[in-house]
Amino acid sequence: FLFPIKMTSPRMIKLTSNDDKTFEVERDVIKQSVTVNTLITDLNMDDEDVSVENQMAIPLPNVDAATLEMVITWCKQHREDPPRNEEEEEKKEKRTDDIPEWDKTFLDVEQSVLFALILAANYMDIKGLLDNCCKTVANMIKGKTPDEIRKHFNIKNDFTPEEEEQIRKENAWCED
Amino acid sequence: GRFALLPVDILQKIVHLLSAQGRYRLGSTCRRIHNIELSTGGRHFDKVTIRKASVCSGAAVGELLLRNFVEKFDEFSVNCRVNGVTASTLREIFQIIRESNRTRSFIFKVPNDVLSELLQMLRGELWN
Repeated sequence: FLFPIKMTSPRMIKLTSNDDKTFEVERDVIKQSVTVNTLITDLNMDDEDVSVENQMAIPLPNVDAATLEMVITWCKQHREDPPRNEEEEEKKEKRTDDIPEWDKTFLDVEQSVLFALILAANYMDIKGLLDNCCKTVANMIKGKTPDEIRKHFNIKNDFTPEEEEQIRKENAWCED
Repeated sequence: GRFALLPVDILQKIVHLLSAQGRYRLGSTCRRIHNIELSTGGRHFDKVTIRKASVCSGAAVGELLLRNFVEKFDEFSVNCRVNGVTASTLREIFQIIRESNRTRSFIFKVPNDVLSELLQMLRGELWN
């Protein structure tokens, strides 16, 4: 017996960046964003009767188009990742040497881009992306002296010399 | 720089990912990050060591050096008691920790037999 197979195209969701660019992304891809996921559910956007053309775009006022494009690329790459168990993640030993190779290359970008991604991942609540961005930043800090960290991230030293000396004394034990 | 202006919870996340040395070095860069680093609770001592052992008044005494203990000591205290470490020693230790909110190092003189047991448990319960 031959049964007709119903070919369904993947459900698409529209997202609009703060500079008014609209992206169409598969529902299954963007499910990694808790923020977007919640909005889709709350706004009943999973209704299959509504075509993507007639669908309302979800505005993301804190994310620009270039960053949103990167976020979508990351989500596509990680669409098959198993769902995260936050309790288990919390218990795990904190490491920074376990960033997947693809992510390492993907996150090898200018600091301004990396920080924009961090803010977007935080706002869109994409824990995997946020974790790997933070690990990338932590790896940049490791092995550097306070002065080297300041230079690397352009941080202004606003301590008085006395405060700096006090902090240096407090932390002296770490330098044993 | 934009780094120093990242939201508190992000900077706390980064602080958590660093070793004690990395954390303190990052916290030494500017006032805002220093305050965030100070407020970032961990769950363990960064370092638990016997600094030295000596003989004092005829009794063997060791120095237990606990560094950067933050939070959850009540839970730990219960575990220790269950495991049979001298309650009075522990009470004394935790009282000092409670009173020294911002102190990062604690040095206690404790009898060597208690010290080794305590050290073993601290490592098992909190260090790892």
